[in-house]
Amino acid sequence: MKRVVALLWFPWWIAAVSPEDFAGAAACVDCHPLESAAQSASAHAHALARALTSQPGDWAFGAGAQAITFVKRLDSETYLEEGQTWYRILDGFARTPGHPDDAGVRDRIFDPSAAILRCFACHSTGPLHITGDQKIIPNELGVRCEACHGPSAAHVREPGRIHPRNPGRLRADELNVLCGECHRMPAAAGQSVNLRDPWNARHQPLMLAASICFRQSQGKLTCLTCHSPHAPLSRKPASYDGACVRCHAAPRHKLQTAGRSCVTCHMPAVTAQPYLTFANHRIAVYTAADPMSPIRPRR
Amino acid sequence: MIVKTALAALIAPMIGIFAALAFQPSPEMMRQLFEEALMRRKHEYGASDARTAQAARDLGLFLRSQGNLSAARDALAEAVRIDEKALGPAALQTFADVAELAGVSAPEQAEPLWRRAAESPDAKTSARASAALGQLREAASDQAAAATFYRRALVREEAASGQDSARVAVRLNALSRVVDLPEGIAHLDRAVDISRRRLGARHPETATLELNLAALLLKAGRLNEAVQSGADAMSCFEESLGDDDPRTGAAATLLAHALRAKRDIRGAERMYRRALAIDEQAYGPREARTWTDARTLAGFLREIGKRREAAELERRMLGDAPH
Repeated sequence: MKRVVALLWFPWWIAAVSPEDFAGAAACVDCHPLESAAQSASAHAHALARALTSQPGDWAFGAGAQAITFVKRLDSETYLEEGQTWYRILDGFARTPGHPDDAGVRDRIFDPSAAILRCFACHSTGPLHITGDQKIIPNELGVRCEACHGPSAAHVREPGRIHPRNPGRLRADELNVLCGECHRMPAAAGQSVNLRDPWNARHQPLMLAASICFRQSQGKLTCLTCHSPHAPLSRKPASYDGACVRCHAAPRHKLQTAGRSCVTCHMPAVTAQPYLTFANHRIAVYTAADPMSPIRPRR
Repeated sequence: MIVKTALAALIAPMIGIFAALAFQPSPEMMRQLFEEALMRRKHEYGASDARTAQAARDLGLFLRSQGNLSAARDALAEAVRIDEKALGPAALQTFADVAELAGVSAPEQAEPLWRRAAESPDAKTSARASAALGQLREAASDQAAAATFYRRALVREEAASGQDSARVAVRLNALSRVVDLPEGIAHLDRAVDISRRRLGARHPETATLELNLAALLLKAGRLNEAVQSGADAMSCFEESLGDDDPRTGAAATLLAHALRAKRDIRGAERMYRRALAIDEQAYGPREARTWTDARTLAGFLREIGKRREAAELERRMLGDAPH
């Protein structure tokens, strides 16, 4: 009996999650057709694919909403992040974000930063497998149902009794951490992060957590306030206005704002790197000249 | 049989709950991959091969990045043992791994390891180890010994990364804490100058150095310069880290002290209040840093004749503070 009690609290149960614990997105379709259809059309679902023969490398990272970066296995130790990325805005290739030159960046599979392993882990669903000849094999391509809901094979077997995680029930800070596992964590107290660095515009949970709106909403403002967890990302600024007016029903503006959406000014688009644009999730008042430095309210 | 069935009924949903708690990407899954890689190397090359040491080092440094210091220590100790056999005790890699092991060890175990790593012919390893030894001496309030180690770290760092590298600024900052005021101010002046050129004038690391400089200027009685440096640092933190970041709070406290020394009572009071508000929000009302802010503000309020408010603040904030 003591052994059983120990097992209940021993954290290796979490570690012991294996491919068999994952059902795969196809198993969700019959019971959750609407969510499955929406999610299948999202960029998340297409975050990782085998590269086509016409493309460089073995793997294509990114759905192509903004860009696709290619990765090739060089040998049993190393993967190459190709130096040239395909950008939608160009409909062509240019240097990969963050790379010093066009030669590409070599990543040892077991570099302590686990950089290439993290790339595969965040762009796929379920545990990674390393073959005997050191190939990284993702469990399921793309960010699918179980990336957020957790391994659900048991739920598929016994849907009435075993329920998967529902991130919609998480607190705002917990949800920010969940999304931050791949989109970058909020800064811990005392941690130094340069929020004015345009590169950080692509780290939405980090920037959102630094927003006065997030801090003062007392848990009401979460990633899901604005983003459907299943549907493709809306790229129409006006589609987000509804979320803002729930708290700011009659905002006072000093400037003429007619016809403009809230996010246009308060979450301005930032060019994080050439050809890559992200909304600055640190919600604030900005000048057109500097979309990363909020204008400080008088104290 | 009934007990077994009941336990199974209890355990099955628990498995589901625990499995559902696993985040993506799971650090445990990553750790498992690193551990499997080490096992494969041991199987393939044996337990005394440099390639096996590499896998142990990878595992140890990965675990360190996850904050699992005790497991990191075991893996890095294994890397050092293999290095010594495969490469010899005086190999650069052995020194480097000894430094990594020291970095995850408790101070008593770390000190001899850092001393060994400080003897590395590699300037980078030697600089890091000397700086760590300086920190240990500084923590033991042995300022003279700390200064000796920090000076050595500075020289080695200049050799490793160049006279004007950002890492040299870090070494200068450490040295400035344990030398006399004029020398400390000179080191921090140089560090700020390097940081401005390397990282930018509005970078938070530059602002941190400016704030430290402001503290020394305040100690030296150079009040106008202290206020200027403190205000610059604070506005940079506000912009780059946020209005309510603890570093902004630290800058507010320093600025308050400087304004108080200049007899700018209103300015000082505003800054003390701001520091308390920031730390209360960042750390919570029942935290030592918040209590320190509250005590400081209460003392200041009493000093300027606001005794009732000081008492009220102490009642509200410090009712169950540790003594």
